[in-house]
Amino acid sequence: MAAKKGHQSQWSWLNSCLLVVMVGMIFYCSWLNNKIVARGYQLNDLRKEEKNLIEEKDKLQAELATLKRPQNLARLARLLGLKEPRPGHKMVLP
Amino acid sequence: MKRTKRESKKERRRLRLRIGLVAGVVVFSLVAVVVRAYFLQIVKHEYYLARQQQQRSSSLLINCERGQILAADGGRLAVNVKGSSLCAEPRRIEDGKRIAKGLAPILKVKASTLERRLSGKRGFVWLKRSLTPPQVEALKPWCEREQGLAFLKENQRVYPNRALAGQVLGFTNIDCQGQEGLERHYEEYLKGRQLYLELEHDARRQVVESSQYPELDYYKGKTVYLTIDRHLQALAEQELETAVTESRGKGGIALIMNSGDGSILAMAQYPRFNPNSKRKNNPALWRNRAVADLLEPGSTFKVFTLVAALESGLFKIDDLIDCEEGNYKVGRRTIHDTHEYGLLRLDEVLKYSSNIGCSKIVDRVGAERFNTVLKNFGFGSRSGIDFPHEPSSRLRPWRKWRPIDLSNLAFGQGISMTSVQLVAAYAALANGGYRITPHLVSKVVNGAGWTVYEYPAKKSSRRACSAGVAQQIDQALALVVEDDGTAPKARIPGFRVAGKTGTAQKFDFTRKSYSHSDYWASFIGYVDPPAGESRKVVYVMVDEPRSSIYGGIVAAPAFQRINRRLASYLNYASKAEFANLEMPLTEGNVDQKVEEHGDEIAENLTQTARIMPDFRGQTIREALALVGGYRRSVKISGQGRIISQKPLPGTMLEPGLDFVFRLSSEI
Repeated sequence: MAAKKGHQSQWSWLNSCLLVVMVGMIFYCSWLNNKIVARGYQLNDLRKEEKNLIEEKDKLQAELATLKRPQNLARLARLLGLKEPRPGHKMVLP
Repeated sequence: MKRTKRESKKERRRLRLRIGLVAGVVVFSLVAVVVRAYFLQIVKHEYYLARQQQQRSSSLLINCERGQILAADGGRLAVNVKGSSLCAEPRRIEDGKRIAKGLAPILKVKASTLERRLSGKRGFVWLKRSLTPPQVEALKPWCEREQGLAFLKENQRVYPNRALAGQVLGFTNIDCQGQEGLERHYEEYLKGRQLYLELEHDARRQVVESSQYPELDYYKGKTVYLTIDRHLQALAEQELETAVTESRGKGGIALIMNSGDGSILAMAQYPRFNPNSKRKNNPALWRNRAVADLLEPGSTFKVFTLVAALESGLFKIDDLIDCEEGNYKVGRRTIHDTHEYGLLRLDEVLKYSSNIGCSKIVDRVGAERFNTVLKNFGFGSRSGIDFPHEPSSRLRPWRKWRPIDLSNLAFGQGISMTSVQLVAAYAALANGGYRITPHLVSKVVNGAGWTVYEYPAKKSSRRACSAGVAQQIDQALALVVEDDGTAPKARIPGFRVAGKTGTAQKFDFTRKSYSHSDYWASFIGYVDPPAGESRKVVYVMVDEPRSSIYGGIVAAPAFQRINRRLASYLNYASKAEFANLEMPLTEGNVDQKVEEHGDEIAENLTQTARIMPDFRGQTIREALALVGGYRRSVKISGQGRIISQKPLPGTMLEPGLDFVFRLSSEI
């Protein structure tokens, strides 16, 4: 009789454990799912920011290319009193 | 008080009834739920699944951005930036008239036009595309205040170098589709692909990140690398503008082509065209005249008459031709020369640009042989340049040539070709007789960095003429820039120049005869580069010059200036020798020495032994200018002027030497 009782209590302990694990799993999965969604929002925001930064970079690169166009550089160089190199002035050092 | 047995039995029955009722309700509810679930999940499964997906997900159309166009030096010639456009949803607009009145001065569009667009029940209309940043700032309060107005971001094509190579690049329309120039020709490579992106939303329509977000770089347009160098293009445009304005001409073309592989380093045109503001320009300016316009080459074509003479074997370069003292009858027409020449050598016919000499040469060569030579140089067909709208050069079938046609052809009348076709033919002469295909694009690279197209680097095996003939022609062309030639102004001190002038009468289509007032003045030629580099053919043409009509006066100075700057840019002079000048070189007098003794330098290069000079007291730059071609390594210590050197002065110079220079500010 006592052995049967012990056997029953063992089962109930196991069942309780399983229940706790299952509930734990449910909570964990919900938390994980929640986290995935939150990260998704975060990633989406970062992607938007990246897109904005790329757009900004493109604009700045276009502006830089305009400022570095040969005619502009020549004009600024002349303003600074520089002259165009003549044959023999340019030297490639080893 | 004790309950009776009967009462308790009644109580139990009531309780059972209640339990039964509750159980019935529960069972009924469960059955209802199961039935409803069955209806939703099984019967109407497809319908609700579709609705769920529709609410949860949406597809977004992405127009991936167009590829960039880069110059050979890496400079950006055509790029994309995101610009804002203003759109509206008319069915949500409450007071279209008031909004139209308010937006009109900002958008610079008539209020009535805006009002018409804003009226009606349409779901979407553009109000203005490609807004400027100040317009966007001014419109922001309107978009926040009014329902149905919004900004939409769009790709915009921008040409940061403005008018530089405008006609070559062409332009796109507002939807970023290539319309003209290289933008049109390379549309398949440049255009970005369209793709639909599936997005997941939450209940508030916020986008939830999807793991299937594609790598957009693979869908972007490919990057096109040109052979054009921005700096060479800028200098060609600048010198061309000077030539056209000084000669009070109508316009002009300048081309620089690498004769080794046909790559075009500069393709300038005047008046210029800025593709950023194409609507403000006259559409006639959109055309790339160097590729699309046929023109008669005039005297620049005489060189091919000489090639035919030498290729036929009927003439030698030192054969004499009687130039009839300036008048020669062919049939009923008389051909004239600008000066009265008697007997001229074959190369002198080119040097003095004698029409009569050329007529007599082709008369002996014959139409068929002459035609074969011209075909070998590609005349009568397209050059194959990678640019739209290239016409074939016009060369009538040789069987239909009358004697006068043959004579005219000998000095460049009665045949028309594009500037590119003429330059490509000269490039064949400059590279030793090999035909080349002119091209503007060197390679195309995709978003992942893989080269998807590359112009083949191998040398063409198609011969236009033999190497021997090309060499003899080269020597004859060098005579043209001599003092008594037609273009002494093309000469550059310190460099060997070869070229030919052209002064072609324009055909007057109203009078159906050649004009006596309108000409094309041109010069085409090249400067000899340092050993191992291919010649760069430079062509300058001024349309309808007024100060003078002659190519040697109008175009040759521009040719000279372009080549001078080209030599500096490509560092030709650093490889030349300054060693045999008597006066010691100092930093201040290098240019003066080159000006004064340029010819001596060139002559000395070929005639004298290469001996290590005494560099003591000179600058390191002057020393490196000489030793450049021989050095394996150079060690420099100190600052200032050279105080000691290794190898010692007087040592024979051979390639692959190690040089050591010690410098000091005190000597």
